[in-house]
This record gives sequence, C-alpha cells and structure tokens, in this order.
Amino acid sequence: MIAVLLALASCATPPEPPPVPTGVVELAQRYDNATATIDAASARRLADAMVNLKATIGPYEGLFFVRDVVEDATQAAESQTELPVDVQGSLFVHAPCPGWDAMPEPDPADGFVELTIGVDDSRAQRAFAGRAHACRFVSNLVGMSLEAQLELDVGDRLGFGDPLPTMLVRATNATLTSSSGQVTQLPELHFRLRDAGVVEVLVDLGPLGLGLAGTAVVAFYTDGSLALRVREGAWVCAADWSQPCALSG
Amino acid sequence: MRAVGLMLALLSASSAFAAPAQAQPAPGRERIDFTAYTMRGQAAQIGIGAAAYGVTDELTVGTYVVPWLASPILGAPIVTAFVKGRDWLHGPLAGSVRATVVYANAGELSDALSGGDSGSAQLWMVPLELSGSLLVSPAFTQSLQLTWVFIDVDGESGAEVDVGFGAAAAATSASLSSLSELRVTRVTSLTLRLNLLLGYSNVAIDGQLERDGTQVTADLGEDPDRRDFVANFIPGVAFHWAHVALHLGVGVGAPWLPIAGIPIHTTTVVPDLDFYVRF
Repeated sequence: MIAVLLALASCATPPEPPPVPTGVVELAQRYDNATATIDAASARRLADAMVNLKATIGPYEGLFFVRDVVEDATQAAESQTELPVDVQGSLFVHAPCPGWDAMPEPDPADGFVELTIGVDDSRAQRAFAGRAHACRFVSNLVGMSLEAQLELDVGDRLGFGDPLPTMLVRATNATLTSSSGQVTQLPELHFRLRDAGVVEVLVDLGPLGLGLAGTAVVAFYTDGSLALRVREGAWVCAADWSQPCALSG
Repeated sequence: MRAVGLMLALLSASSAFAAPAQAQPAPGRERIDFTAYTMRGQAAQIGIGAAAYGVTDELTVGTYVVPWLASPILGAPIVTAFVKGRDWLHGPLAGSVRATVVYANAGELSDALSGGDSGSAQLWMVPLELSGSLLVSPAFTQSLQLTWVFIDVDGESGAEVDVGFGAAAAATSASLSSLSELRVTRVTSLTLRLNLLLGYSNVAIDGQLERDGTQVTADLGEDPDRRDFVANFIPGVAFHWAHVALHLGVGVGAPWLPIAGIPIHTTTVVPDLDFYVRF
C-alpha cells in the first residue's frame, strides 16, 4: 500500500523513454548469429590464436561490476512494482566505480558509471547508453581507469528486479589507463559479459590469416578454457592446449 | 456490462417487490459509508471501520479505527479524520459531502516496516466524496458516490538507505461507487456494491532511489497506451439490529484500498466487511 501511495505523483505529460541505441542491438544480433563454419583442427588453431585477444580483453573483465549496477537499478525500481498502472520513462543511474582499493564508502576519486535506462511498459528497454568517467577498477590484480562512451544490451526487455542474463558492452572512444600510467586508446571495443565471469567476444575470422571466414563468438572461461561458438555449434577447448577441441550442440 | 445488468435487475426486482412493513428503512440505522446518510444527532458509532459521532442530524465527524490500532505496531501514527455533511431536507433523495484527511510520516512508516532508515517523507491524502442516495421504494435504496482523492508526498530519502524513496509530488484519483440495498426484513438487506475507476491524474514516480551505492533518479510516468478497465463488484448482505450492524460481502475485481479510495491494479477476490455498534 505504501508503495502505491509513494508512487503516485503528477506530471503534465508522461516522460518518453530514450531511443534505444540501435548499434549495440545490431551487434547483439551478430553475437547471436555467428556465421563461421570450422572443423576440429581449425578450432584448435583458432583457440591458440585467441591468446592475444584474451590479453586485450582481459583488462575490461573488471567491468563486470556494471552488471551489478544495472541489476541494482532495476531492483531499486522494483520497490514500485505495486503500481496500479504501467509506466514509461527513464531511470538515470549514477554508480561509483569499485576503485583500486577496497573502501567501505565510495570515493569520488574512483570515478563513476552513468547510464540512462529507458523504461517502457514497466520494463527496462533491452539496450541503453551511458558513459564511464575516470572509472577505476581492478582487473587481474592491476588497477585500471576507463574513460568511454558505453552502449549496453541485455538481450531482451528486463522486468524490474529480474536477474541479468547477459550484457553486451560496446565502448567507443575508450581510453584505458593502468595504474602505472600506460594508456591504451581504442576507437571501439565490444564484449559480452555472462554469468560466472564468462567473457565473450565476437571475432571476424577473415583478417586472422588462418584461412577461415565468417564470424565466431569466443567465450573465455575463468578456468582458462574457451568455447568457439560458430554456425554448427560450440567448439569447447580445454585449458590444456594439447587436447583437441570438442564440438557440442 | 454484466455488473450493470445485475444492478438493473436488482433495481427492477425492488420495484416489483411488495415491501413488507418490517422491511421499511429504519431512521438512524443507515450506513454512512458509500451512502449520503449521516448519523443522527448525538449518536455515536464505533466499529472496525470507523468511529463516528453525529454532531447534528446533518453533520457527522469521525475517524478510522484500524490505522490508530495499527500505529503502536507500526511505530508510526497514521492520523485520519473526516467530516460529513448532508442536506437538511431529509427527503427520499439525500445528498452529502464528506472530506477525509489522512496523514502519515511515510518515512517513519517505511522504517518501521523495513527496519531501515528511509528518511523523512510526508504523506497527505484528502479523499473527497460527493454522495447521493435515493429511497426508490420502502424496500430499496440506491446510492451513488463520486470519490476524488488528492495525494501529496513530500520528502527525501535518508543517506544510509539500501532502498529509499524521495519525492515531491501530488496526484489525484477519481472513482465512482454504487451501493444498492434491498431490504428483505427489518434487519436483513441484500447489497450490491460496484466500484469503477474513472481515472488518475498522470501518475509518476519522480524521485531518488538508492541501492548499494547506486543512485537511481526515476523519471517515470503512466504509459498512456496502457489504461485498463479497473472495477469490482461485491454482492453481500447487511444486518442492522437496533444498535449493532454487520456488513458482509465477497466480490471480484480490483480491490480498493480502504480509506485511500485507490484501486490496486490486479484482479482478485474482494472481501467486504464492516461491523459497528451505535448508541
């Protein structure tokens, strides 16, 4: 009852949800529809070639906390789910970054992530935009600071308080600075964060010089193994690089 | 439409009903909720719904009992009071106006319910009722009530909240209620209550929420394409003895929050219960 009463307020016109960033949605569709066809030998060679990609993407694994930010935002809005009507509009999210040291209170020096989550029919839109500003986090025991424009896609419209299945991150104009001062600039970077620390990257196989064509989604697992999702299924390659990759449905 | 048809059937049945003498309305025993009637002067009522006192035959003041009883449990008082005035003609058609004020420290209330610190939010509600009751026949009374509710929330969330809310906002809601009473004996009446949501003002969540350090500024409004039909109907039975009254009913539809006069947007079984003593 209280939630109903607290939720009632007036405004002249209902706020419109922001436009869905279409670029990241199209990218998500490419993640869902890998086009390459490869055999076991090619899968092993491709897995070997992904070592450098793992090193490139590694620092961004620290952005897993953004998943929590989105979940926290929709769970906070869940407190209004007793609304007698369906709502639309926006949730403006401002979240402190984790920082380089474990602190009991957020430190403004650790930067922040800001997102504008569109809401339509009482559900969060599948994709939304924002930015990371001087955002400090730790990845593989190294302190990082990120400045980037962000577009995020969670795969489908999200009910308030629902768990996040996946989150595709598209970062543009990204500048990553390590705590030692090393600066890396990338015009565009994208990866998908899944449960249990799994990071996926869409790879165009043509430019790799392996004689392969099309796209594959490479999933890096925390135990060092990886999976190559292609048209016919997923090649699972164990952390023991001497083992052949196995195709699973 | 089905509910309207049922009411019309009840109405026509009442016209054909040859009211026995013992089914005549008993002055002073009329219910004051959902009708235009007031208490008799110097009469008092206490029940699970309201406590009321008739200042004169046309003016009744009162308060709602349950919020007061719940206050020690909730650790935060919910103050309610109403004043109701009716026409002085006392003819077969009665008209009345009732104004109710509800105040709660929503922050304290939320703290008590959640065990947290939600800051200080003030909640004011002012339901205004315009009612008309027509004695169609000695055995049948039809009442209509238009309820307009003003709600104002003003406050902000605390600094340490996990989930809090802050807002500075106001809203209105309008409902139409119908109560048909068919007296079958001096004590017993068959009743049918209908409630229909006429509309809200634009509903919005406009405030600050916080969870685990993540600050969320909500700017949400009612989706104009998603207004549904919100109503309920509650058939029941009422017993009016000399000093005691009991109203029982079970219906279906959207439940209306007592006192507030606001429906919850769901369809469920809707009970109706009131019991009071007059002296």
